[in-house]
Amino acid sequence: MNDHTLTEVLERVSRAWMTASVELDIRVVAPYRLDAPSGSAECVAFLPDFGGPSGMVIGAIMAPRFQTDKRIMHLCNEVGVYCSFINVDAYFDYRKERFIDALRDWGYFGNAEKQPNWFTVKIGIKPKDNNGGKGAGVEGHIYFEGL
Amino acid sequence: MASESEAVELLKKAGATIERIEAGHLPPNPHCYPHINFTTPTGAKGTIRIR
Repeated sequence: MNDHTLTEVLERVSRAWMTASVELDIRVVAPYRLDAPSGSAECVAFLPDFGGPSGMVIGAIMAPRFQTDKRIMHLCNEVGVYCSFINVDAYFDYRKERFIDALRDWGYFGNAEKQPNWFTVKIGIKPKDNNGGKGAGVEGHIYFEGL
Repeated sequence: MASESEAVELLKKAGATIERIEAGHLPPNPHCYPHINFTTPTGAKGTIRIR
């Protein structure tokens, strides 16, 4: 990735999300220009069905500082969309497991009838192993499979 | 609680891969606070809360 310019990197990550759109059957706008009352910003992508009821914006963070863009965060707050900053090294190319992991973490908020079949979040209680693993006790902790 | 930059430095020193930095999620996700998602050198996933 070091041989690429910043613009090339962001375009490549945006393309990876367009690939995810096809492969995972999700709505993606990439690259995305975020327009808010106090200004605009170029972002990696917009996912209308994830992150929150109004969708989410994906911003970029890069080594070595991994500094988030506070202006993008502010603009997202203004228009009421969720915001996540992804490490461009980790999302440079489309990788199914990594992208699904992020999408599950962000949560699906779109039309229930159009929810992708790969999107499942199982919620349950995992018992504490305080009786030699011989069965579920009363105590336990909630787990969220896929998060 | 660590700031964003402090947490980034801690994770870098630990050899972790920083995946995402994001605001708190809506339920049912339990991470309802600003956080960093990371992967350890052994492949374990984790989350660190930030200010």
